[in-house]
Amino acid sequence: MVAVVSPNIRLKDQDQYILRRFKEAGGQQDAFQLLVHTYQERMYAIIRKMVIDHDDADDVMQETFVKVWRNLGKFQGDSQLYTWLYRIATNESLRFLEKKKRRFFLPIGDANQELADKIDHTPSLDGDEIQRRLQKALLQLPDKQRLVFNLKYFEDLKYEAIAEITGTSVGGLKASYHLAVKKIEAILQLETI
Amino acid sequence: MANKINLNELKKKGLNQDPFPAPEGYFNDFPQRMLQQIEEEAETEKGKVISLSSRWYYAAAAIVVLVVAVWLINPFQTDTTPIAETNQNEVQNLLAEVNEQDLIDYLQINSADMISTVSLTEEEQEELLESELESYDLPEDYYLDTDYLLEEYL
Repeated sequence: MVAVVSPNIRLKDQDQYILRRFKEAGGQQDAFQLLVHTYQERMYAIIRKMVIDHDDADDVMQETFVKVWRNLGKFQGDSQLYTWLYRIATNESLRFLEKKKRRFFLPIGDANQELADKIDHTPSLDGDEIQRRLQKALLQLPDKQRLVFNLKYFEDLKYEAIAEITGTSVGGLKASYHLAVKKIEAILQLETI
Repeated sequence: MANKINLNELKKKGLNQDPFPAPEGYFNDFPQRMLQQIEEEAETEKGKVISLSSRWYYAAAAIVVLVVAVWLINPFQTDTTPIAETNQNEVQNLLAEVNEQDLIDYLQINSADMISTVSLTEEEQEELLESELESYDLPEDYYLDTDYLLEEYL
């Protein structure tokens, strides 16, 4: 049973509640379920944009939350809970992509082609040609840069938060995002000529 | 000529809307599935501990054999006196200390199918290895592609 928290409690307070409850005897599962309820959609959104396929995203979601479960007790609160969660989710997504390339000995081109095919067969993109083209263009970026782009463009996170998630400097992130935007615009432009 | 593509403008028009929404009902089931999974994980934790000790057991056996092998080959020895004359007794003593089962296990994991030896599926083995090596510190190469940055600027 999920603990009921008043909707007007701010997210930060809710995070504090989750962490406190997790440390209480018998409170771990309640706290964990509340955490999953609170963050599952945000975690899914970033994972899915990286791995593209829903079933793969579901696998990475499970991996992510299992790791959260195992490590939540050790979370020190040095960073905000959501950046810690994003960090695990993005790390798991990148690891999944790496593992996939290694397991099937796929050259990067082939792995990206597989993801591009999945984009072509994504029903939610039917009729949204510009989004489909954008997603396929994004595959031409290195995975880590695609991650930065997704966190900024789609999730609208601040550079400071992205820096915390990725362990990168704000300056480097700004440069990376700017270059990614220019590169994607150039790719899309080329396709329209 | 086609209009110039501007991602910021397209963002204002809603291009940043979630391109891959989850299937309907996914978020209703997911928390319950996760709860079941962590309960199952707690159940299998004992099994994992046994497997883990098996791994260390094999590792220990491998180290013992390696030490003996190094002792026999002795690449650091500069004098050319045959091993048999100098330390045969010591080698024999060392070999005698190696448990027979350790040697069998060592040979098994090096020549036989690892999966059947430790009764774990490939996926379980991978997961186990990952959990042993697990760290949330991002790898050192988890930084921006600096070569790419340079390429763009230069």
